[in-house]
Parts: sequence; structure tokens; C-alpha cells
Amino acid sequence: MSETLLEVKDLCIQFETQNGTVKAVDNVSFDIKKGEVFALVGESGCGKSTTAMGIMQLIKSPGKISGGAVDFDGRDLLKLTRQEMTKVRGSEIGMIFQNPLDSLNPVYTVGNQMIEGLLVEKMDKEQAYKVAFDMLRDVKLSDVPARMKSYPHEISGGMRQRVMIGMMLCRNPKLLIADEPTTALDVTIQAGIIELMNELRKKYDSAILIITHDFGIVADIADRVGVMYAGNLIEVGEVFEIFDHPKHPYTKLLMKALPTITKEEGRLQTIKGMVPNLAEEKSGCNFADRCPYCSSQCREKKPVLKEIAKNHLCACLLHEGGEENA
Amino acid sequence: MNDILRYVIKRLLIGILVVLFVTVLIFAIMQAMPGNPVDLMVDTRVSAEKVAEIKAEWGLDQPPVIQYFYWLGNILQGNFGMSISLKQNVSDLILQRLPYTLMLTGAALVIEYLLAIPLGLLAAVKKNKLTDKALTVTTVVLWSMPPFWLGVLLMLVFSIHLNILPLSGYSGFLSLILPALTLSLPALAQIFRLTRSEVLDVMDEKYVTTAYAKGIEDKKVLIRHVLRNALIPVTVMFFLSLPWLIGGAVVVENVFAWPGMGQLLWKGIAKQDFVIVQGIVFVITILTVICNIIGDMISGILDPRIRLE
Repeated sequence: MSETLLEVKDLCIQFETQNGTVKAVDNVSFDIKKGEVFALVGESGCGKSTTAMGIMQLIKSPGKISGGAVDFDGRDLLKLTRQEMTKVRGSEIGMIFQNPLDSLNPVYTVGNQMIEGLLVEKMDKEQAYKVAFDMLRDVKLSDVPARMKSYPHEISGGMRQRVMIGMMLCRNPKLLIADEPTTALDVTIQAGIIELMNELRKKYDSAILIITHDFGIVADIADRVGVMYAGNLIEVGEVFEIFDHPKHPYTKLLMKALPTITKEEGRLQTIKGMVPNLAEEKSGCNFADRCPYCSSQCREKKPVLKEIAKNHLCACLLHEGGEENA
Repeated sequence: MNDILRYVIKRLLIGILVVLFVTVLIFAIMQAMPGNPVDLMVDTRVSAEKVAEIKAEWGLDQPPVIQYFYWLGNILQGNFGMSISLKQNVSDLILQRLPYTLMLTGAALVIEYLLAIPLGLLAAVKKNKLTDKALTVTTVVLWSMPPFWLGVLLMLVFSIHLNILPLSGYSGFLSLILPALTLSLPALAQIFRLTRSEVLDVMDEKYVTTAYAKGIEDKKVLIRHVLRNALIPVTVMFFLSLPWLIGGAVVVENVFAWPGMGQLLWKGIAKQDFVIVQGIVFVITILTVICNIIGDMISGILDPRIRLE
């Protein structure tokens, strides 16, 4: 659990739009160790999915990676050629997406699409069929022989997500990126998918980068959490450290906004204000406008991610120098 | 398999209704047109009695409804009737000319799709770059050219100035090139645009991202995932546009004196020879219905989400 598998260093991803350059991901750095589950959380549009797509180098135009490094298993993925990166995808890093309903090609059977990825490995068809068959059994699909011949529209959303997980795990990647894998599914199905991922990560010994805005999922599966806000990674720590002792004002407010059934609180708390427009160049902390602890210094100096306690990093001027006054 | 058979039978029954409706319509239009074929045939000096006699001979003195059913009864027995102006059996005339029209439209379709699909794909891959813009402008220019004018232009360049291709008529494969080009080039823009927009749509689909995430090479993703889906509507369009091209062939056949059905139709209309017009429209309608059914069946085969019922 100690060896670093993935190290994202100062990753910057920007989108050229008519209203200017949007820094969707701004100097994001984090690492994932072998076999670890790292969760990236944050609200919609904060850049968590873009970060994941950046690691896979599947950013679509007009977006582009404008700086940083993605060290994976001893090499910088950003320095690879297109062909070399194609070889990394699927075999070393797998990825599943938010909406399983349209993540599978409607004109090919489940079996066909499972096997397609395996055939890249120069496996023969029978062997690939067997691997795909066993994998579908591992993701707990019933009646696997029939499912192999099913088209995606003939099976449910939960089943499709299981197929996606199987499809991405069947080549035994070292890292599985799961971009909001349960958002489009029913709550009962969600629990099953998370349980399955938890089980399979042990069996296949894959590290997982899970992207979500659901803290319930984070608590269920993650070892460590990174919190993102407006393109910045603002807090990183072990999952219960973040839950019990959040340090960044945004994380604190986020925790307060979580509904609980143990406390009688009446209305849910919300964070006042709006996410800043990332196309505007501004100095200081991105959260300053909404932060209850904002000082004049916060509007001038941009905080950087610093270790404030053991294995706990935070990007906030309140914690500069390690003192805790908030 | 039983489902497909039931579907085809259902579609054929509806098709028969369509054909019947079109025959009524075309009959009504021909009746509503001023003048009649006998007046065009005979000299003004011929006596009224003689004209009435000729009309009676062709059954033209009967009420239109009777005439229609008489014609329909015959055509159901395969008898298309006698052409009034050419004094020939219309079924013979059509059978003589149908192969030439099918040859011309077939060649035009092949040229059109063989050019439009790769160019559409190229434009989509190079979206908003110079190649894309140049292709779009070129196809729109071709689209705007009236076929009779484009035909004459091609004749001028290739037959008269360069003298490498026959001017008109049918004299083997070489004489097919110019009329087929004239028919296909203006139609190209449609399929080009369709292919381009379909490819762009499919490239934005999540399952294409999935294919990349699986580690499939760019070229394979483009062919297996993008083209395979983008070409479904294009293929259906292929079958739907076949009758449409036969319509377009009327003008082109006249420009090139191509011995096809279009030219015959033109003559029939000019001489108000409704026996010819009705016969040809009947054949075109049947072709249209059949092409539509084939198009639907192909889309059902290509896209497993479509169930034929």
C-alpha cells in the first residue's frame, strides 16, 4: 500500500472558449498508491471529471492539457505518443463512466464489446470469449451465456454498469478510473455496484480513482479523499480525517450540508453564493467570495496545497504555517 | 424470421394502397389538364365527327371514372395499354427503356455514395479546418447547379473541347459517364452533409469514448464504432433516394438523349399521352414502395434497437 502508482503533478487543463480561457483544472496535484481507492469529490463543474479525462488523455477539443505531469508506473503519460497512450488505455488504466446507458455501443452485443478489448492483447477469440465469460460471472450477471449475446438496450442500467466494470477490469489494469459510476442509477443498484467494486478491487488488486459528489460512496469505498473546488484541489486526506476534521472552510461547509438522520436540523444547510466564473482571471483564493472566514489577504494571495497535519493537505491561508485558528 | 415476414406483408399491403392512391391522383391530374391527346394528334381540318370517332375508338368518350377502372383493370393483368401518340404497347416501351434508366441511376448512385461517404468522413475528421470548408463550399456549388446546365457544361468540356467522351445517346460504357456525373454531382451535397453531421454526432457519443478508453486504435474506433453507427441513416437514405434519382433522370435523360424511361415520360407529358405517363408513374411508384420497404428492413438489420413490426 505504500508504493506510488499514479502521481499527478501540477496538472493544468484549459478550455479555449469565446469568453476567454477557462482553467477547468488548475495546478492539481495528488497521488494514488498501489491498490488504494482515492476519491475526488466536489460539485458539478469543479473539474473532477476533467482531471480524470486528463489522466486518460481523452480531453476533447477545445480543451487541452496545458501543463503538469502525470507519472504512472514510472513514466510521464503526457510525454507518450498517441500510439503509446493507446496501449496504456484499457490495459493499464481502465475507465468507466457516469451514464452506463450510452457508454456501450448499441449495435454490438455485450460479448462482442467485451472481447474487442481483449483482442488488442493478441489473444485468440476462444480465449477472449472465455475471459469475457468469466469476467461477466465475476461482476455477478445472471445467465451469462444469454447476456453475452444481448445488445445493450436489452439489459438494465445496473447490468450495463456491471458490464462496463467487467469490460474495464478484464484486462486487469493497475488503475480503474470510475467517473461517477453510480450517479445515473437507482439507490439500491448503487449499493450493489459499490459493493462489487469493493470486492473486485481486492480480487484484481487494482487501485481505483473514483469521482463522485456523493459522500456516502466516499465513506463506503475510499481510503483517501481529495476535495476540489473551482478547478483547484483544496484538501486531501484520509477519508475519516476529512469527515471528522475537515480543515478547509469549503469542506467544512460541505460536511454541514450533508443530511443526517441522527440530528434534528430542520432545513439543510447550503453554501451561499455562486461558483466563480473560471474564465475571469483573478487573484487570491477561488473560494474567497463565499468563505465566512475570508480576510483581505485571501483576495490577494492564492493558497497552495500544504501539509498541515500528517497525511492531511489543505490549501487555505488560515492554515498557512500550520496554526489552527479557524 | 416470422416477424420479418409479417412485417413485409403488412408493408406490402400498405404499399398497394399507396400505389392505388397515386394512380388515382395521376389520372385526375391528367384529366384536369386542358386539351387531350387526340386534339394534339389530328389536324384542325379534320371534321368533328371524325375526331369523335377516334376518341370513341380509344375509349376517350367514356366518363373519367369508367376510363380509370378500365385502365386499372388492364394494368392489373399486366396490360399497360396502347400509347395513343406512338401507337405502341406501353409495357414494351417501358421494358425497353427501364434497363437504361436503372443503369444510369445505378451508376449515379454508386458515384454519389462512393464520393460522398469518404468526403463526409474526411470533412468530419477535419472539422472547421480548411479541408472541411473547401469540401462544404464545393458540394454546395454543385448542389446549386441545375442538372440541365451542368450536363451541357460537361458536354462542352469533355465531348466538344476535349473530345474524349461521347456527346449523347447510348453507345456503351463511355457514354454512361457524363449523364451519370450530371445526375450524381448535384445530389452529392446531401449525402456528404448527412455523412459529415452523422459522423460528428457519433464522435460525441459516450460509447466512442468508451472504445478509446478500452485502448482501441484510432482507425479501428473510427471504422468499427463511428462509421458503423453513422452509416445507418446514410444506408437507409441510399434506398430512399433511388426513386428520387429516377425523377431527376427525366431532365438528364433529355439533355443527353439517353434512351431511358425519363425521356419517354417527357414525350408522354408533352403529347398528353396519359397512357404512357400513367404507366411510367405506376412503375416508379412501385419502385418507390419497394425501395422504402428495403430501406426500413436494412435499418432494422443494421440497428438492433429498431424492431420491425
